[in-house]
Parts: sequence; C-alpha cells; structure tokens
Amino acid sequence: MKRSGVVVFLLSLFLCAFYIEGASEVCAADDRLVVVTAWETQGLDPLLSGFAFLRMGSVEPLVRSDRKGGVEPCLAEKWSLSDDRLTWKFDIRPNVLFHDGAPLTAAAAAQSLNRTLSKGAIFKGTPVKTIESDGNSVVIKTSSPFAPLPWYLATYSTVVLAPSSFDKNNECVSVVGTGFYKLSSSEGNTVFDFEAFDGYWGEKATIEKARYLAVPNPETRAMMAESGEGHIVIDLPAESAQYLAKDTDVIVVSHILPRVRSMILNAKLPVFADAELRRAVSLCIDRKGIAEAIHKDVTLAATQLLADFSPWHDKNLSPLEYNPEKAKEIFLASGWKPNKSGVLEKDGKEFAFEILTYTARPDLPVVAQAIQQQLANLGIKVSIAIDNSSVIASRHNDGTLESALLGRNYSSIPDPIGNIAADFSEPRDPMGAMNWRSEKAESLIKSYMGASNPQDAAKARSGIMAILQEELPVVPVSWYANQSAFSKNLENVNLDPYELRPYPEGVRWKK
Amino acid sequence: MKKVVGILGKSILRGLGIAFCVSGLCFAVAHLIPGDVALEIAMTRYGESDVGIIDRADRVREEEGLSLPLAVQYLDWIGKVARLDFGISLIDKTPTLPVVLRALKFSALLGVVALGFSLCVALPVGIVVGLRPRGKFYLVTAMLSSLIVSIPSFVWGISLIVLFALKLKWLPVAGFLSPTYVILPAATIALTLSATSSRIIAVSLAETINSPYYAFARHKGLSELWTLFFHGLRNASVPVVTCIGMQAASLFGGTIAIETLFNWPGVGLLFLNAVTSRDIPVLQTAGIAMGLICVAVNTTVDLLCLVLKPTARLERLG
Amino acid sequence: MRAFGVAICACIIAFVLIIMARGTNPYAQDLMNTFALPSSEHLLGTDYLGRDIAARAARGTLNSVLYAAASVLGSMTLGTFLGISGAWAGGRTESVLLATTDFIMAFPGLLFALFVGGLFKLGAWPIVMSLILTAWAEYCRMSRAIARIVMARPYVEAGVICGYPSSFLIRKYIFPEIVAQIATLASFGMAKSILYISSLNFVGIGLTPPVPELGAMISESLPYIRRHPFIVVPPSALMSLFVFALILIASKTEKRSDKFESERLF
Repeated sequence: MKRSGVVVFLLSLFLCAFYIEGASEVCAADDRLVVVTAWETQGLDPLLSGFAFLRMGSVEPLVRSDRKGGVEPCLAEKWSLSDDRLTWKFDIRPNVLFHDGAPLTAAAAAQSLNRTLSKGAIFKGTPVKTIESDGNSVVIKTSSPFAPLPWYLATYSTVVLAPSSFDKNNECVSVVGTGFYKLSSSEGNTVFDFEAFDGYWGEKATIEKARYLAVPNPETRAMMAESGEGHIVIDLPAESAQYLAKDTDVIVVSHILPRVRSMILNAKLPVFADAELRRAVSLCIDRKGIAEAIHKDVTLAATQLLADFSPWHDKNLSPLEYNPEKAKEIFLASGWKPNKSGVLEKDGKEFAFEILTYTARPDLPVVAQAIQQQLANLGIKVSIAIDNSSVIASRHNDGTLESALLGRNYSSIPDPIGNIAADFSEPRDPMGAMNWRSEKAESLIKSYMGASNPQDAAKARSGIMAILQEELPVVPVSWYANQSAFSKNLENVNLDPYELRPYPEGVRWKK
Repeated sequence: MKKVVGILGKSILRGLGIAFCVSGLCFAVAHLIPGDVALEIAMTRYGESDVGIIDRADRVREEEGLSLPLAVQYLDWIGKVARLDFGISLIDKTPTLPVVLRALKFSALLGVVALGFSLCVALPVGIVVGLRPRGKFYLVTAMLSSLIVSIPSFVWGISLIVLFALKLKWLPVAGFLSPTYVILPAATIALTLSATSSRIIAVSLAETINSPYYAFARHKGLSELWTLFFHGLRNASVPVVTCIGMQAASLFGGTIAIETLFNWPGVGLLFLNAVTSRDIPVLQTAGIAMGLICVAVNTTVDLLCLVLKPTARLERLG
Repeated sequence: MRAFGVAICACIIAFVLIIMARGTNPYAQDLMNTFALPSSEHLLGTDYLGRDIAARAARGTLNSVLYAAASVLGSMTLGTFLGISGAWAGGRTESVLLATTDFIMAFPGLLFALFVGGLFKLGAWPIVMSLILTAWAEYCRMSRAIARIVMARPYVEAGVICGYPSSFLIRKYIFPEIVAQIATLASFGMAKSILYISSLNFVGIGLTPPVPELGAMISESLPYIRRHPFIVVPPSALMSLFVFALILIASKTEKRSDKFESERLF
C-alpha cells in the first residue's frame, strides 16, 4: 500500500500549500458582493483594463455617463467652452481624495489624461491638441471645434489615477483611484477584491467588501447566478436568462445596448460592389425569425443601425425589411440567375462568399448559421469561418476579408459618434466598413463633431443615418440586449446600458 | 544503480529535447500562420472596438521586434531562456514564468485530487474484481467502465454540476477560491480515470494470480497470505503504475474541457487562451514546462517500475 | 462482449441509413419551429434553429466516424509501416525510430491537437492531421515489438537465407501476428479520436458550421439543457454508444494473455 500512502501524502502537501497561499491572498467572505462578468483584464493599466475598475467603482473619470447617452459631472464639477470653441476648461471638484490619501488636483488629473493622450488610442483622429492644468482646472485645447469632447472623457481609458499609480517609466504599477471601492488584492487577471473607501466624496459604499470575477464561459456564469455564488452576473446568454427568469428566484433584467450584430460587406467584391445588391442581400435576412428564435425577443430585430432608445435612431427612416421575393427580382435584374445546382450565377461566377465570425460572443456563430441558411434558400452560397475577432481586423487590412459578422459596440464613448466616425470615415477602424467611402457621410460626421447647437447636430445625425440605411456598407441584423441577473437579496441595483457606470453603485443588501 | 543513472540520464536528454522541440514548434507555427501577428496582439491587448488600432499594431510590431527575421527572433529566445529569462507575455506584459507556474500549480492540485479520488475507487473495485475474474461482477464493471469512458468528460461535468451544485446545493459551481471548489472538477476527471484504472488493476491482478510463479509460490508453502499478496501485488503493479503515470501526464493538458467548464485556471486553459490570442512567449514557456513535466512523470514511472520489478523494465520499453 | 459491441454498431449503422434514406435536409432551418417535440415529420424533434435532429444526428455520426476513421487509418498506416521497416532494418535506424516514438509518446496528444487546430482554424482536418502525427507512435512501437519477435523465429531466418524478398516475408509471417493488435489499437484509437475531436469542439476549436458533428452538436445543445434537455440526448447517446461499441470490440477477455496490449484510453 505504499502507493496510496504516497498519494495521500502528496495530496495533503498540496492542499496545505494551496491553503497557505490561497488564504493569504484571496479569502471567500460570505457577505462580499460578488460581481461576475465575462471579461478578464490584461494587467492593471487602465488603458487596457480600466473597464473592470471603472465598472467596480474604483476609478472615476472627469465626467461620467448619465445612463441616457449623455454625460454628467463626476470629478469635474462643471466645464465651460471658450468663445472660439477651441479651449475647454474643466473645474475640478474640491475635497476629493485618492485612495492613498493624496488630494485630487488638476495637475494629477492632467497627468493621467496626458498619459492617455500619448499612450492611449481614444483621442486618435480627434482634434484634441493639449491637456494642461491651470490652477483648479484642467484645460484642453483642440485644433478645431470639437463638440463631443466631454463624451470622450467619460470612458474607462480616461479615468483619473493618482500620480502614485505610475512609476518613472509611466507604467501603471497600482490602481489608485478616487472611487467608492478601493482595490485591495487581485489574483491573476480574473479575481479582484475591493474594500469600501471611507474617504469617498460621494455616497459611500454600503457593502463593505466586493469582488470582481471574470468567468468567460457563459453557461458557467449562468450557473453561478443560479447557485447564488454570483450576486450580480452580467451578460447571460438568452436561453439561460429565460430559464433564470422563469424557473428560479433570481432577478433578471434586460437592457437594449448600443451594440449591434452587423455584417461587414467587402464593397470591392463584385457581389457587394453595388448598393442595390447589398440591399438585396439585406432583404434576404429574416431578422424577426432570428430575433425570436435565437435572442428570444422579436423586438431586437434591427430596423436600422441603432435601436430606438438612442437619440440616433431616426423614426423617419424606412425600416429594413424581409422580402425574399423582391430580392429575387433584384438579383435577376442584375444578371444573377440560378444555375443547375440552384446557386445564383453570373458570367460563370457563383454568388458565394465567406462570413468570418468569432465565438467570444457565443450567439454570433448561431446567427451566422441562420443567415447562411436564409441566403442559401435564395441560391447564395455562404461558408462560415470561425476565428478570433482580431482576425477580422487583420484580414480587413490585407484585403482578404469577404464578409464578417460581429457584435459592434457603438458606445466606446456614450455617444455613438466615436464609433461611427471610426467605422465610416477616415481614419478607418479595421472593424468598420470595408472598401466603402462616402464623402457626404464624412462631411456630415465632421459637421456633427463641430456642431455648435443641438439642431445642427440633429440634422447632421439624421443625414448620416439616412446614408447608412441607403448604402448599407454594413448590414445590421439584430440589436443587442444585455441580460443580467442579480440576487433577490440585493436592492437598488441600477445597471447602466452603456456599461460606463459602476455595477455596485448604490447597491445594498435587503434587510 | 547503473540502471537508475541510465534512466535519469536518458530522461534529462529527452526532457531537453522535448522542451526545445516544443518551444520551436510553438514559435514556428505561431509565426507562420496567415494573419498579422502584431495586429492580432494589438487587438487582444486593446480591444476590438478601439479606435486607431493600426497605429497600435505598428507600435506592437516595433516593441516586440516582430519584424526581425524569424531565425533572429528564435535565437534571441533561446539566449534568453539560457539566462532563465522566459520572456514577457505579449498580451498583458507580465513575465511568462509566474503565469505558467501558477497554472501548473492549479493543474497539479486538480490532478492530485483527481488521482486521489480515482484511486480510492479504482483500488478497491479493481482488487475485488481481479480476485474473481470470471464472475458476473467482472462483466458488469467492464461494461460500466467502458460506458463511463464513452461519455465525454464535459457532459459528465455538466451533469455533476447540475446535480450537486444546483439541485442539491452541496458544492460551489465553478472557480478556485477555496479548497471545496476543487471537488467537482476533480470528481469529473476521476470518473474516467477510475474507469480505466480499475480495469487495469483487475486485469493485471487476475493475470498475476493465474501466473505460474504465483501458483508455485503458494505450493512452495509460503503460507502467509499477505506475503503472497505482497509478491503478487508487486508484480501486478507494474502495468498499473504505468497506466497511472500516463494518466498523470495527461492531466496536465488533457483537461481543457473540464477547466473551461469549471473555470479552473490550469495549464489547459492557459494553453487555450495563449493559442487563441497568439501569445507566443506564453506558448513557448508553457510548451517547455509541459514537455519537462511529461518527461518527469514518465521518468518517475520508470524508476518506480524498476523498484517494483527490475525485469519489468524490459517489458515496458518493449 | 465483443458480439455485443458489434451488435450495437450494427444498430447504429442501421439507424443512420434509415434516417438518411428518409431524405430530410439536415440543414434546413425553421426559425419559428424551434425545439419542436418528436412528430411524424421530425422523428426526434427540432433543435434550437428548427433543424431536424434525427437528420443532423445521422449526418453527424457519419462525419464523426469519418474524421475518426481518417485519423486512425492515417496513424495506423504510418505507424505500422515505420514500425515494421524499422524492425526489419535494425541497427541505427531502429534506435532512432525508438527514440522518436519515445519522444512523441511523452507528449500529450490533445494539447498538440489543440495547438494545431487552434492556430490553423480550418475546421476539423488540422485536428485529424495532428492526431495522426501523435498517434502513429503507438502503432509503430507495437508493430516493431511484434515484428522483432517474429523475425527471431527460425522460419523467418530460413526464408531470408533462401532469398525470398522481404516484402513477401513480412506479408506472410509478420502481418498475421500484427493484425489482431492493430485492430485493438485501432478501435481504441477511433474511440479516442471521436472524444478528442468533440472535446476540442466543446472549447471552440475545429468547428465548421453548419456541418454537423456529434461533439459539436453536444456542445451546441448544452446551453439549452435546463429547459430543453432532450436535444442533447440523441448526439450524446449516438456518440457514447458508438464509442462504447468500439471499446467492447477492442476489449480482450483475460483468456488471451496480452504482452503487447497497451491499455491506453487516455
């Protein structure tokens, strides 16, 4: 029986080692608020991982999302624009402390933001020129009038960290923010523990301890919501969300997000070169069927790029429809006729293309299969390739991408203009429209950025949306609804559809 | 003694060989596949919806020296490894060695517990069945173990989670925050392990008992049953130890599905993430670690067999 | 037990043939009719996209078996050829061969398949290739060991002296001894391949939608098991039964004493 003895010995050794190490770093306290999301971080740098700390209320930006697509004051009490509309002045809120006890000053804020300006990507392509501090204010100068600037300051990469967070090489070595939770420990890139910060300037956290858990597998997240291990669980698959809502006492909430499942079409391909053909392909997609069967919510069928909760949704646009008969006529009129095997053919070439998609958002391959079949019913041969989302970008750049189905976020900043400019004007984001340019759209985007009053902005907005609906450089398929679950023992859970406000904000245990 | 030295020497050579081959393979394949490595790394680092990704890609390319010729990059890597500098993860810019060691620690924990569970079941079952090789019990356990092995591990995993964590609420679902989290994943793995182990123990024991020298020993008058047992077990244990050794080696990477399901940050998950995000330094370091571990396990098995039955070594090496 | 295994295989083959003869399209979706209960039109109901489960399962079995058979045939041919040649050639070649197989067998096959499949993303074929590249070592080892033993026998020596060509000698004397062992290894190998491919599909490697494959079907159905548990049963049952049958066919009763058997399931 030597063998079992050895095994038992090794076992106990390992358990001891694990216990000692584990206990010192991470201990599971029972009343700790556990937030479960899909996203692991990549180190501590807010430029990469700021989303985790922003959403846990550990770091804060100068202005923050007001949950309705706009911004409200946060670390900046108020701001003003010079008459020539080129200089912004953000007045820093007084009596705010960082987690290390240092006071928040305009100089510290400017240092953080300058780091983002030089190392980050959020300001690329924008007219932001310099960021300086002047007494109690942060002064930002732009090279041309730039109305959306405050939105650009509300994201995770523009949060304000204390100077002690950075070392002499300007690398981030710790996360010292101003938020109501301060980071107390971490385990790899998947577990972050927080403690309530007593010196918080606003409403302090009621729940003393919190934890951020990254669990990439969506079914595992759903099971954690069900078992109560996760008190707030973000981003559940549609099926699990339905199950949790109906068959357990977990509370499930659903928000439509400014995220769209859309198909990028390479406009250089002969099958996509003409807007008429792209519209025809769009007519073949049964969006209501997809929304009903896959997302379990028929209202998510996209009628245009953005859903109706967004100010960018234009009710006057004629909605995207499902009309395979009309599509057939268009194909016939353009010279695409079914060949012997039923596939559309013109000049000896088949109407065939490849859709590239990825599994990081698990519904995408399923939607791709539905689209593939719907197009096959009309004689279009579609093959599906599944790879990393980054491959879409690299194949866009080398020109080999034919079509891609992705979940496109239009809320990197609270207003969609950030991503719309990136996707449809220059410099082009490789996840945006491919080989398609519209000078009219570009000038409208510029005028939106420089608009001096809401009416001009609204005009430019509807102009842009009209062009996108007409030309369909990307074909919207369905809108995203983020389904999240929280424990019935929690109250006052208020989740931001733009995911820029902290999940545990104002959350309390029920008495 | 000479044999021991021989085994050890061979293993060290084998280990180094595997380590180099694996890291070279990781390196070659990761660089030779279509796609711009720099851009993909940039996207994983900075997110797909980040504006200005091309600039970042260029920056990544410069920082990581990705435009240098491949041979130069590889030799550079070898040089660093010789100095025990295992490089920095391309994705989150932390040194790769601690990341790999951490994953190894978790895999080791899971593996040891799983093996422990499996032996707790397989030893008694195997011995009981082995002593009566013709009974109905034998047939039943043979069928049962085959059936258990036929059902994929992740299906077992989900069933166990649904039963123990959700319906009965005895155990937590997934994660690694305290020792109870290891039970379900280890039990899932132990199911398939014990199925094969018990079969092998049973067959091997049955063979030994039926063999001539065992009968002879008994006829000789070695009356104490337990001394016989000792002889018998020693001989029977060679294939068992071999089998367990192979299982142990496979535990370090073959548990990907379980690790994904239970969110257990072991080597399998590390490999999966590194492969999908093309994080070459992590792949190479993990590859070296894997190779060395496999060799270490195989060597331990060889040495154990030597201790148990010197002539068995010839059999095993065929 | 063997007979039982063969019987199960026969049932599965019969099932597959019958379903395929019905001619239902395994790809046709009916988004308004998802998770339908079994009916005369859909013998086993429909899945999450409204596709006929029976047709998909039948086609999927075919595909799974195809991939597994391909990997086994490849590794078997390669391994046996190298093993016998190595044994016949002897000397340096043989030691190099032994060292190589030693080397390869020390490396976990699943990880290699993950690596190749994850990097090449061309569906299931890279996985099959990588499985061939790791599994051949087993066949090589086994066939070499047996060939060695047979070669030492006097009638083989006599044959060499008489000048018979080596191919004839190999065919006549060595092959018959090897066949039984190859069959065992092949059965286990097929079982292992099916399980490996399905595990990799579970973690997202090697998929080519909408081509049905049993492992992929299982992992696709898992998100729905709480409210629609039935849809995971047909592919799981088919796969498990098929693997079970293979293992039964490969199993030995203890009547045959097996010095060559490598009990290698995982």
